[in-house]
Amino acid sequence: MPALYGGSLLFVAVAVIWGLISGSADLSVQEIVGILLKNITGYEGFFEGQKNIEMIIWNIRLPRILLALLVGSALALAGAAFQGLLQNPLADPYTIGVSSGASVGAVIVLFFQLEIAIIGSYTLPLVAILFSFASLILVFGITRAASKTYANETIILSGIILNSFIGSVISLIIALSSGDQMREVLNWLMGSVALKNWGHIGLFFPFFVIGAAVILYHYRELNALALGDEAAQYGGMNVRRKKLILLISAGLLTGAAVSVSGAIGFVGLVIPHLVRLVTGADHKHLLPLSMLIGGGYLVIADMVARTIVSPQELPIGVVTALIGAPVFTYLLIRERIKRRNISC
Amino acid sequence: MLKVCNVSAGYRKERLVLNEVSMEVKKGEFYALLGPNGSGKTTFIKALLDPKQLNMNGTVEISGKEVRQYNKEELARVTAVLSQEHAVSLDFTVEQIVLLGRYPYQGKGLFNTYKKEDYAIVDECLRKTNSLAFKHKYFQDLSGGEKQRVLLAKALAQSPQLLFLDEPTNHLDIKHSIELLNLLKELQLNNGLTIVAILHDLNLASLYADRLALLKDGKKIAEGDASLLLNESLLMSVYGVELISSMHPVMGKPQISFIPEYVKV
Repeated sequence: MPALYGGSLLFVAVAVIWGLISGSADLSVQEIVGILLKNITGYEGFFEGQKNIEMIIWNIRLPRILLALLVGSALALAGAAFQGLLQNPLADPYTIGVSSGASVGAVIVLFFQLEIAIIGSYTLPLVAILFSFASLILVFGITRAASKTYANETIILSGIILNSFIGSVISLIIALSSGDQMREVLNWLMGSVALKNWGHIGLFFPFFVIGAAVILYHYRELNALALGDEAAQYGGMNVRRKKLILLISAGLLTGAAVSVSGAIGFVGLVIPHLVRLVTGADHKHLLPLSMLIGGGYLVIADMVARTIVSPQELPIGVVTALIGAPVFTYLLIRERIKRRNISC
Repeated sequence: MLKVCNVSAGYRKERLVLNEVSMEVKKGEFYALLGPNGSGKTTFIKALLDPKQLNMNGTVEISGKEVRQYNKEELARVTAVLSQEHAVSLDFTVEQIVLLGRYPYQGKGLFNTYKKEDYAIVDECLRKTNSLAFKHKYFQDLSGGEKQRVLLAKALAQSPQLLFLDEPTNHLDIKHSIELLNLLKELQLNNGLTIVAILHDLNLASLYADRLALLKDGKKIAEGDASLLLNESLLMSVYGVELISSMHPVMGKPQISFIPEYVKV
């Protein structure tokens, strides 16, 4: 296990450094480390190169990479939590509809060109977060009305209903949009961490810390749900309360992540499965390792998205699945073959 | 060990699934609950162990303490439930499943994890249920009989004094049913475990249980030792099928023979 954590941390470190190096401005690792140290410590001597290069690294690339790291780990963690919680390997962070809520908030801002004076360019993520809260409350309302015990099927069904309803509202807005607006909306919907600054990180960070802490703390409860809600109840767990806590924290985590970066696909569904192939289903290791791998993976995906056809950029959601799907397929088949040979 | 007094319960207020049920189960006893589908047997276990979920009236004492005075963890250290096989959708190993039985014994902190003692208990429970051999296998890959034994090990890992069984042999063939019941009987006789079992098979209930109760439409209509099953007219009225009761040639306990409708007696 220590080797797994070490390896995952190394993966994250390599992804971040690689991400910092790659791009139109050519820089060495030394220079980059110098810029980072200079801005962290405030000592001018660490980097004495061009001011605009320092700007690119510290104000453009680094926030973008950190945001990818945070969003990737948040989505992978939320995905693992939803899969464990709902006892459904097909669940992902978007299952219960909070991401649709965030999306419709963002799309409304883009469509009406809203901008609230004091918060300026943060209007969109803030409105999106508010909409994701509202959708979380809505999905709970529907679930609660239909099932006193928060049965998994009811939660998933409420999520599907909400997703399809909001999906059609978004389609309606797109249909009413002009060509430019439509492009803007679609770009946002595909997800991106481009053009993000420290403010976006500041906005997302509190949700990230609280959501992740709550979920990580509840690894035993996620394990105990393996045998179903009723068995967990008889096994000594306050199922209704714990499910509520976990759903709210995973929901807020997802809603906030989507609000700053759009609904980036694949990471939340597949990274937990990928990690599970190595660690098994025990959430004690699955949760933290999913965070590391998901974060590192999104940094790499973003790096590919912005460099492979530069100066053009691909939507990051396209890249996550384009690289991820074949890799995951290969690992899955290999694992199943291995397992079949053991059980024979 | 278990004292149930005038328990009524239902999922909605206007419809009672259980109606004024009372019973007492002594320590170390194997008590079987019998009755047709929909007679309230499963609701009975739910009402006892999770009264808040249902509209439940009456009192239940487990180990001398009213059940509503227990918190969830405390209750899980005294009672455990083995139900019908449940599908596990993620790849948990057998050991991880049995470790879940130690959940009510864990502290709260993030790093407060399973101790050596917990793992020793897991091994012990796996040994008792003859399932130590597949400790590291995936639960999903086991056969039905093996799964039930592992789930029994999980229930035993809670170190309960009182074990509830909800049709534990439901998906099992006769060999695995007998195997499981033998195991349970051993635990009762050697370890003093108190067992309250919902069983469908009257003949097996007669062979394994010390006392039986018959439920119909949420009411307890009869209770007693196996000789209760000699009352043919009672059984026919409860189950609505033709049957004859006779003695087991070796065990000297009643066994039921059913008579299909196409034969006119």
